[in-house]
Amino acid sequence: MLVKSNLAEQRTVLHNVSWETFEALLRDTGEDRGSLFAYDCGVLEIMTPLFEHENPKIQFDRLIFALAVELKTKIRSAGSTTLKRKTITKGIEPDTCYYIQNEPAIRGKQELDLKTDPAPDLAVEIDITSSSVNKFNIYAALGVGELWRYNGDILKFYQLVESQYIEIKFSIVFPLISVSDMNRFIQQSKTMDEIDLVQSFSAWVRAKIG
Amino acid sequence: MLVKSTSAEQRTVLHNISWETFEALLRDTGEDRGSRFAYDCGVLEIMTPLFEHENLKIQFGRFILVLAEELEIEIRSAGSTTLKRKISKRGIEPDTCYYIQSESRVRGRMTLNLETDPPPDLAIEIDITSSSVNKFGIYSALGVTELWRYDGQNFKFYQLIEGQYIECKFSIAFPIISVSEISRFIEQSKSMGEIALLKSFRAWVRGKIS
Repeated sequence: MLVKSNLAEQRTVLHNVSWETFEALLRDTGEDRGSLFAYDCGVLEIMTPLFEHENPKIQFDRLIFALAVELKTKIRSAGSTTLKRKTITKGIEPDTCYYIQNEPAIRGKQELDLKTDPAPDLAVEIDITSSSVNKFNIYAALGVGELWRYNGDILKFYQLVESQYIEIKFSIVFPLISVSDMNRFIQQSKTMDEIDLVQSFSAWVRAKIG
Repeated sequence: MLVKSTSAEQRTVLHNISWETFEALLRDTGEDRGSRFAYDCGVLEIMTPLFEHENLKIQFGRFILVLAEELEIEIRSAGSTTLKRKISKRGIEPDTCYYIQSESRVRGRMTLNLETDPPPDLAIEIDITSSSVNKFGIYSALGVTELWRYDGQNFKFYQLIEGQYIECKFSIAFPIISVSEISRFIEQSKSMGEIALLKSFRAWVRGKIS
């Protein structure tokens, strides 16, 4: 007998998980996992996204892509690739992430190794329920320049400045776009058809450029 | 990937987990985990019990203790100890389990190794939501003679016969007890105070003996 949950994410936390075990889990579970890992110094959070989480994630990706198309920005999407570095014992799988300024550095690459490759320039995190790990710490340690965080109601932009995330009004990666603009479109995604949304967004971007 | 979230259990499932990774997780997370693992040939289910599940588990534990005490049967409680056997590639942490018929073989033991020790004689499983792993398959591979299973509505006794669990009317470990009698007390636990319930259960057991 199943009772529907109204949570957007289901989170399971395991403590004292060693780095080696974390990497073994990544190797074993492979690509098609369906849940997202976040690891911070022994704490492993396994997050299974439900509908309320997945839909905005897809909207963000489409809007970012539409933005890159209109602005003719070079972009490389890394999706929910595991971003990890052993020396800092931290790792995370964003909802979605992108190389933009650093796109040339990883163009054509089929694998990422954050020991030698740059971190993505932008990561998007949707946390409608609270995470058990401190995601800011993980992203800061990985050196991700810009974070967009959405809690289901409010979107915030953050820039990494001297290892701390500072709230910013305009995106660094897409300087034309303000957080309130982006938030407006994400809120519209709750009631607007998805195709109308992308078209309306693209038209709005074109008007801003032209 | 299956996500089930309710008021009784939260389940997260990972696939393709090797035995070595499963054992590494057990070692790392240790004793105080709070969530329970069930492993079946690569599928790892991490179950976090919520209130409804935990409360029932505690009622069952008390009934078993009263039964053993009144019937003067010696037991060794193994709780949610990880029961695992590498050659079967299966492992599980029951809601609670007991050595009864085999109690003398594990008396005084502080560790269990199912490669050489007998498995518990009785295990209790509460699965108000469906599990993603075949628990019968796991318990059968471990050789647990008797299972009590409650699915939120129906309560059943099972006995292991030639590798299969067959429903039975009377307990093997406590032969004077029938499944319908325990079922009745489980139903009462939903509306009765815990102490009143226990007193009533004890009085009923004494009535049965005399």
